[in-house]
Amino acid sequence: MASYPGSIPSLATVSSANTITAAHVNDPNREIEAICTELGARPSQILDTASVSSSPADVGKYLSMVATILRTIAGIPSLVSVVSQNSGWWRAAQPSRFFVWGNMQNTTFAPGVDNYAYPFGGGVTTTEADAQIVVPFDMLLDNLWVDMTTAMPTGASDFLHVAIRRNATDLSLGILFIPPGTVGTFRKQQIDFAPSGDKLAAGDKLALRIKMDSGGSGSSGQVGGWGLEGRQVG
Amino acid sequence: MATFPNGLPVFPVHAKKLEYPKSADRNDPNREIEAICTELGVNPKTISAVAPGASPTSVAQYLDMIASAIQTMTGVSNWYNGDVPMRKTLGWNGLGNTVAASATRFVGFGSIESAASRALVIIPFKCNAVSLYVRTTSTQPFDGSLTFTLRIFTTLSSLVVSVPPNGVNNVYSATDTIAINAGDRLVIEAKNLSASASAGVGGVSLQINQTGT
Repeated sequence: MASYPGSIPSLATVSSANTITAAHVNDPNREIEAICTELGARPSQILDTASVSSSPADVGKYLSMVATILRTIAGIPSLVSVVSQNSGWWRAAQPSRFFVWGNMQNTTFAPGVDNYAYPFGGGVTTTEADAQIVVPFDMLLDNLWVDMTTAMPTGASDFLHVAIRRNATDLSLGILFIPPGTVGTFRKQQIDFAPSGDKLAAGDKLALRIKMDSGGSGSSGQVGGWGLEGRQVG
Repeated sequence: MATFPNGLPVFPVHAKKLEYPKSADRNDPNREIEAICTELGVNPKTISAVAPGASPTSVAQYLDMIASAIQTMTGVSNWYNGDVPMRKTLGWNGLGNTVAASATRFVGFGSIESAASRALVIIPFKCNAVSLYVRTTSTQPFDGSLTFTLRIFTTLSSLVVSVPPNGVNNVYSATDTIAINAGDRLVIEAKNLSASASAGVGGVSLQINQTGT
């Protein structure tokens, strides 16, 4: 009867004067069997479709259960169900994401005038404080999307600036430029590649500023829905 | 003194009839077995959540820490209930406004809109829309239903909530799994099949499950 896994075994130490008994051979063998039984066969072979239960049969089964849970949490297909570059438990190593959204309700923007979009709502305001939300936990930002529902004017300076702001200051890498003559959806990526000082901390005020270039020939095209990706950081 | 866990043990291979096992040949494996068991810890397959720390005392305790992390991440009471997706909520609100007789409109932000572009939102990452909830604030007329459909830009999805004729003010819901890609524009289309103004439309919420990158 092995000690393991209920307790750590303490096996004999023999000297050259000792006679090797059957127990000297059998006891270590039983412990090795107990270790292997507790680990299970091929514990490094991870199956990410394991049925999750409170009492794994062995460590290997538990490791597969963890892989299954990680895959489910992140919404990753299993290798068994979908063989693709996006399947497999290890692809669950990604941040928890959420979004901030709103709709500017087809507003057009006059050159040189700052406007601010209402988060979780419709429309814009010229008063930033009215459109700020307070960030409740630390986050990184990425993927700002804006929907131009009608085309921008075509003058050389007809750019629409859409800027993510922290505490009334533009994030250095958080500015989306929508160029002249364009329509449709636009995206600004890699906002979280900004310097560490650009990370939003709990209590920071977040806003989205929209401004037609002051040198623009006229008002912008209409702007509708928008969305911004946030990532949990600790 | 065992080699494991700081190194991997290598035992001598004895040739038949050429070497007689010495005491070390018996003792060294014993020490390694003890070391393996110590590193693994007792009952490693028996999982109970333990607060994570930088230095687990054994593999068994590390496995317990993983269980605790799963429990915390998913907000469940037992680690093995943590097999659930990361969820988000997306919402609109009609503020009790109605959809005109026999009309198709869109649930906005404190309004019912005629143009989808005024009510849509852009989803910044890949996900699944899985359930739609609608709160009505008055009774739907007797002569036609009121349906709410998740639309991906101009394409109607199969996620549809129906308020039947005479449906009282209540919460109505439906579930399905609709794949959403980063940059998709989502809007809730409200179609009133009654010849009278619809029930009032209150809050509309959509459950989003994160899926990959």
